[in-house]
Amino acid sequence: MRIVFGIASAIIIIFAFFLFEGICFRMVEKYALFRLESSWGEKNSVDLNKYLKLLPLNHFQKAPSDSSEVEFSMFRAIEEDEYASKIMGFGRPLRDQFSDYIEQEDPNRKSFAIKDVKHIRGLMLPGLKRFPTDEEVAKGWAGRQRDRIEYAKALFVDLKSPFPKPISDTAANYQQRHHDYFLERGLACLSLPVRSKDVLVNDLKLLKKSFPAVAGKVICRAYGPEAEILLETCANYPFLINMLIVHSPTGFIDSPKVESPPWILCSVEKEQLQDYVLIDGLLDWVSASRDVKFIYPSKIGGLMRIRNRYTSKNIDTFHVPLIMQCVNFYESLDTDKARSFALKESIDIQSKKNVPVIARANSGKSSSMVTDSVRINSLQAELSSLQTTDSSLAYDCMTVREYRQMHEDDPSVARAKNKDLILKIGSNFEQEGIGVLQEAKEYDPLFFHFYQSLKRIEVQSN
Amino acid sequence: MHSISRAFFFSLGTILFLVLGLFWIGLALDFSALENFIINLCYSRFIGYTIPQVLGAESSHTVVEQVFRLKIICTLVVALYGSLMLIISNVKVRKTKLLILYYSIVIPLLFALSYVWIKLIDDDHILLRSHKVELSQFTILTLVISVTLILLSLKKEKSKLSESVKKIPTADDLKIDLENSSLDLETSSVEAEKSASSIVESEGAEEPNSDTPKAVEKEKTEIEVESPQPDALPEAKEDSGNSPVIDTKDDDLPPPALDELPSELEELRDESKTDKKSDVSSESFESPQPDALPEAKEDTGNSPVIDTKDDDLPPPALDELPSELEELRDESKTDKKSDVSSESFESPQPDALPEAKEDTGNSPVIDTKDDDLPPPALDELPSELEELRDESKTDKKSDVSSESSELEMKESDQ
Repeated sequence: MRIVFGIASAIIIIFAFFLFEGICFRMVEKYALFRLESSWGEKNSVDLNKYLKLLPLNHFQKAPSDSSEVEFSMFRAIEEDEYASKIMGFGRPLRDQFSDYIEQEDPNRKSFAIKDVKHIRGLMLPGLKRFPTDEEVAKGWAGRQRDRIEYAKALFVDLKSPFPKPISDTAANYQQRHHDYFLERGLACLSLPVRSKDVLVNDLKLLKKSFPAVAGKVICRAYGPEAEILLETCANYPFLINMLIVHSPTGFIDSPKVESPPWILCSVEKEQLQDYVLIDGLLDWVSASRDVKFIYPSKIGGLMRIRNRYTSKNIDTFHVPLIMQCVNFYESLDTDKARSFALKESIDIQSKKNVPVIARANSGKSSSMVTDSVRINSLQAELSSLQTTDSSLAYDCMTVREYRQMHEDDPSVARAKNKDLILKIGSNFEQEGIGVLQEAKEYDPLFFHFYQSLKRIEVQSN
Repeated sequence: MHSISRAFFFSLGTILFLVLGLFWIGLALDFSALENFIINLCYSRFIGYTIPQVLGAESSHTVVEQVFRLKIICTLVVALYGSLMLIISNVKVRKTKLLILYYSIVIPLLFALSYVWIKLIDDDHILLRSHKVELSQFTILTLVISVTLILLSLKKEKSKLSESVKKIPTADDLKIDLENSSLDLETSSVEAEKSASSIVESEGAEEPNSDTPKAVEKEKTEIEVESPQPDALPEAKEDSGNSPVIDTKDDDLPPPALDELPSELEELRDESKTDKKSDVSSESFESPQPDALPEAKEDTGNSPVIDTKDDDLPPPALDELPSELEELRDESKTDKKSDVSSESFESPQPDALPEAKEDTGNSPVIDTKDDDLPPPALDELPSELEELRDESKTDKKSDVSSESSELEMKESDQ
């Protein structure tokens, strides 16, 4: 009887302990983040905590994309939804706080600086200032080191329809409070109407050029058709955006196959689960974003949620802790310059077999073979590198790099600038036919973009 | 009290079952108020969940499913508590009844609290400030109720102990008990003596029965020693916490000194002594020796209970015999000389007297149970002994009546 009583007491005590720990994890943000960092390590870590991994913590939830049991995209989407809700459990205290912030009216609302950049209006800055580094002075971000520059941890861009519908006061108030919340946490905010992919790309580039210390990390959010534009933009220019939040996109494009893709959070309506093509495409985005060597993006870099009328309100707050983690992750990478846009090894292995085809492609063979024949090892394409005068990094794209590898023995190619090679290769593709250039565009949009730009500049200069 | 609680719990259980029946009848007859109540319950919120969601329903469930779930859960809860009330009404032990009642509240409450918290920990549910207030109120209330009921269930009942403590006898109670017991003993001894004498008379043998009064006196002294002394009362009170019954056979407790006795007990004791002396004077042949009394008192210090069944005690010495017995002895000697039934006289042999003298210093009690010698036949007794026997009978009766009247007077005075 004493043994039974002792066992029962021990079980009750253990249960009470786990319950108390769970309550702390659920309610206390600091403890939740502490447990997260204890489990996953530093932001740029690549290994999990080997001891805590033994415990049944939700930080070690296995991603559903790893399992081959799920065949249908709808079920996989549901699994993704459950996975996202479990793995982001540490963010609930912050979401509680955000919800309270949104709910309550603040009569003494803090005022923030609002700036316009050409046609872009209403860029709200958090008012953070610091002294520039030598590198930033060299880049021209600041006149001298004593001049303080305005900066932000990230830029949150809310993409809007160019033909906005009238919104209610509640919705307007929600949007204002939403921006206030991020501004108070050091993120600049902007509502940007978007018409097309190119307009969006140009606007983002303009922002990065005008406010380099503010738009260093860009987080974009869009709904419906704008979400599709955002996906397309990010697929072609993955280095422009660090994180994208898409709600119920009307379409999609293939995800970028780079080593460090942007983080993605997508949510779909329950009715959209029937659209297998869309769901499959979004799931590919999610999987690609998680296919990273770092722990944090490999766990929460790509997430999918399913909305219904009961969960919609909860999911509206889901992005807040994810944005914070994303910003912290890229801050930790800034010190290491670790973000890589090299193509993934899987493509490399597949394309190894087709190395000789490049010659055929160049010698007028089928243009479709071009995309299959290019062997790419790695490609560093930081946007900042575009602004530097270093010829080895400017206009760097995978087609140029491949071309250089194919002509390693040719000193003229080694000496040639990237833009000259782009113009040469592009003109060769054009000579082979319009279709060849279009296929090159699909495979390497960056190369196509560079070629079009350089061609235009050359025409204007002539 | 028991019947009231039984009636209460039985009525409560019955009412719960009646409510359950009315609930289903109302639903079957489509009472709109009841339906509205259930539907409103479906839309009521607790910490951000609707009530059916708290009870396990999915958010995607329809209202009909949620209403059905509520009906089933209400039915189960009411039926369980109705049964529990009926069971409690049939439990006779009050403590068990309360225990069942406490734990029937505590266990479901703690389960509900744990369930709510586990649900919150597992779910992807956002808590607003108002929800947190609700949750904290629910948690605190549940914990306070649970802890209170658990403490109540662990509390020991002290009512019996307090009653026993109250029953520790006071000095007056002891005195009354003593008097009652002495009266009882005397009356019983008188009855025993009467029965013995009747037996003797019936047998036709007349014997100077000096055993009974001595036994009565010895028992009196025993009662005096055994009865709780005033000085021993505090110890008895201390012990009463563990054992409400006072241990009267505790030989480790020394008797109080004579000067420590309360005045009432001393007076009572003196009265009993004077009575004894008067008895001795009246019944000189059957009373113990006056010199032996102090020794007997001293002996009681070590052994409060005097062994009245000691068969080894020698007969009294010659000089300790009362005058009547001496005269009787002389007459018997003369009778012996005249050879008239001299051997039939059983009492102290002249040859044994010197030995008896030596032993009396240690034991003043006369052995009254020496049955080795047969009693003399009535017709063998001399006429003087017969007269003496008749006189002693009348004296004993008068003494007993006088003592009982005195005790009654004392009782009435008290």
